[in-house]
Amino acid sequence: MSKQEIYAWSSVGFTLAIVGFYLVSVFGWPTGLENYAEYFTDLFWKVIGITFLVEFTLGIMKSTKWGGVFKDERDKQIEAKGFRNAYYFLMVAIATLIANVLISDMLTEHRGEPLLLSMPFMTFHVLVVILLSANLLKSGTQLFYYRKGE
Amino acid sequence: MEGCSIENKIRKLRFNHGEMTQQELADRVGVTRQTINAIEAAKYSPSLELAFRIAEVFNVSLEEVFQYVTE
Repeated sequence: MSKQEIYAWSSVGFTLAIVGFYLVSVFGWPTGLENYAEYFTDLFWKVIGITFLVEFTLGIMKSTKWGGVFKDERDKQIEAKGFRNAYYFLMVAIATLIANVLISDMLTEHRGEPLLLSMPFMTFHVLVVILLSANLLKSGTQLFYYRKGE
Repeated sequence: MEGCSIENKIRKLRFNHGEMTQQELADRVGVTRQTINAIEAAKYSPSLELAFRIAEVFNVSLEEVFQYVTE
């Protein structure tokens, strides 16, 4: 496994942990999972600890040139594919959010009360999740191509 | 890469050069071992610069390392 692939795995783990932690802190534990709250919190800190250790070690290796080449032309090409997919996702997600704001405004006039998704705090949460999902998609795309061996 | 029609003789050339490992070749051309493995398996087409560097290591022409196969 190349260093870039380890880095991508670390990024996926970190982003998933952050998404999970963020959703739980905003919306609370889903019904049925409250009993496992302690287990998941423990798991979250373990993931954060491991990813920090991985990124710290890779950072040292990168700066001191230990272990040979860190990123070559294939890594850059795969990274570019990851950025491309994340960009497409961001564009679609933002366009959908803009359309949602417009449609919600029209529906609010008919209903007389604002829809949940049109509220500023909800839009903020959706934007945070979109941002984290784009990062997840970028790392996921990289892993896909590394696993494929392309 | 799908539809890749570039074949190579890197494995054979490595063997003929004192059974050079993928890691040794990777170090000499400045890429990772995984990239050499992907090139050997014809899953990744290297840049022209990298192709020339690989040919230079084996002291042969580019055509002796890579062949463009037309169907």
